[in-house]
Amino acid sequence: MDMEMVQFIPLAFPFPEGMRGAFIGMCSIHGPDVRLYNSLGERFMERYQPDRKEYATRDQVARAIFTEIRDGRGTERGGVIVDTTNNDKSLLPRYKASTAAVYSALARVFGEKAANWEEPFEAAPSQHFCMGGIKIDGDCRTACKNLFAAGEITGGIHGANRLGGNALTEVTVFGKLAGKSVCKEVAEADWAKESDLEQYFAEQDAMVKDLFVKKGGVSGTQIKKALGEIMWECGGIVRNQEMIEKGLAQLAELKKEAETMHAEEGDIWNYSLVEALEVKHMLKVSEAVLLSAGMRKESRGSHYREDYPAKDEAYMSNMVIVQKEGKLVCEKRPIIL
Amino acid sequence: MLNVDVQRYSPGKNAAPYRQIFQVPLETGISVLGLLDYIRKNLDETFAYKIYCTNQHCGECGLMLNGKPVLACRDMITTENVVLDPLKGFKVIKDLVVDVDSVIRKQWSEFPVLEGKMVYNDFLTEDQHSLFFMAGACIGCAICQSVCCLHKEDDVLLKGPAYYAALAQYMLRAKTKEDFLAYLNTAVEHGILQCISCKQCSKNCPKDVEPYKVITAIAKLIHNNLGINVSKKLLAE
Repeated sequence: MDMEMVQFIPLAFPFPEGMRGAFIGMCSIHGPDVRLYNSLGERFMERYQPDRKEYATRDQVARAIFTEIRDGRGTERGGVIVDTTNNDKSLLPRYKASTAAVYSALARVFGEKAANWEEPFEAAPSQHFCMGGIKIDGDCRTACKNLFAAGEITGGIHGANRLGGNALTEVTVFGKLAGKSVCKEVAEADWAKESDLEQYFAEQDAMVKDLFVKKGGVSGTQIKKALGEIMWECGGIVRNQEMIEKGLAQLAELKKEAETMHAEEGDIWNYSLVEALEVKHMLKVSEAVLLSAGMRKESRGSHYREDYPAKDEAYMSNMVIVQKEGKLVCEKRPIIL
Repeated sequence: MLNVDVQRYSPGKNAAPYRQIFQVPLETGISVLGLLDYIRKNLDETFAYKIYCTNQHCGECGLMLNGKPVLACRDMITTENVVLDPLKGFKVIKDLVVDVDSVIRKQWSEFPVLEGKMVYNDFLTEDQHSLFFMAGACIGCAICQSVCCLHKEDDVLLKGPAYYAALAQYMLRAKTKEDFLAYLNTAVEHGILQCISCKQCSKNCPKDVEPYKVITAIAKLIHNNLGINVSKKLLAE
């Protein structure tokens, strides 16, 4: 459910290879006076959010940066400029201690001066968290018998946007709930009757063997790369109907291509197999994201439609994906609190 | 163009490890992970290395870069000739993947589960307290164990520096003096006093945990609380 609700973090590394998309965070963790500039030297957040500027919500800042870069006002290397030099330097020791990993990463990529608030650095938005996910009940049960879910994989807990810190809270609260439910049901279940795991394992085994046989087909890595490009373009930070439909069409083509997917043989540390199995599921999840995003013709929380930029109370509901006869269908359902 | 010399080895398939050279059309200034990903995605899909969080949290991606132990997600490629080896001192599972779990994770699993509210005790001085607290940043990447002069593969009795960084967390939170002394005894049993002060652990730690300082602090506590003789070098720190 709510698969269109994907959170983007405003600041991530735009380069180098291997660190692209890695977490830098949002302006608030880099001091009290951070300013964002585009390649024209304009402090563009004044235009988007005149009141809170750089300290607006994650989705607003990510959207603004994305728009600046998309419209050609980004830096040569595909970011915007983050200026931390106006911060009160007496706060630096606290900053270093509280953001040690980000601090050291900034120092390695942009130099010591950039990490120590003496020079600006570059950043671009990146995908961060998925608010949508598997529908669960109050005991973390899913629609699938004997399958429980908790954490980021579930949907609906954060609504359309997640507040910082709530993901860890979610994990502990729902992890405990799920654990309790599992213990209760395990004690009560009649496993001899209910287990169809053997059949499931046989199906999975057959799927893996099938991947090994198809020599010469595309690799999971190639499909994953193509999928990433489609989703960033068509299901990314700023969406519209035309792009969503284009994305769905491209996805259908990619799915066909994925039928020829092969994996190298081997059972230890076989990334080729891991990527192939992962991407099979990613194709389904991506379709769910685009279907839900197309259905929600409004902007709410992290879901932004440039063709419907306002919030519409008619969409105060959940978008639920159901599989019918092997096809994914999106249904608008009332919110149950 | 980078000239990358990698150790390859698939137990069962290859009789012994061998070297393979990759010509990679990338420039210096990328992270080690970026290089590994490029090789796997573009040059050889069967190439294996460990990578999970990409953000210095999980401690899984330790390997040898030009003979130095590093985290692949953290360290950058600075030279055009790159030599990559699996982390020294551990059993190779495949290519650059080593079995750290059966050493570090196994050591961790031997600790009891702390239950109830965590309270810091007053068995430590303020300096020891803050040192042990900072050692909680250890991510168990096993780099300290890899460079430790005393570390040998398959030696289960002698524990490496990462073990004492973890033990320090229990000493910080020991509920009774008996528990605290028991932790000190555990450290003695596992050979902490054999440390020869090479300080390689502290020099190479990617998280600035200072395992050597933790070891000397524990040695001092052992000397004061258990009355056991400790080498002058360990006490001098």
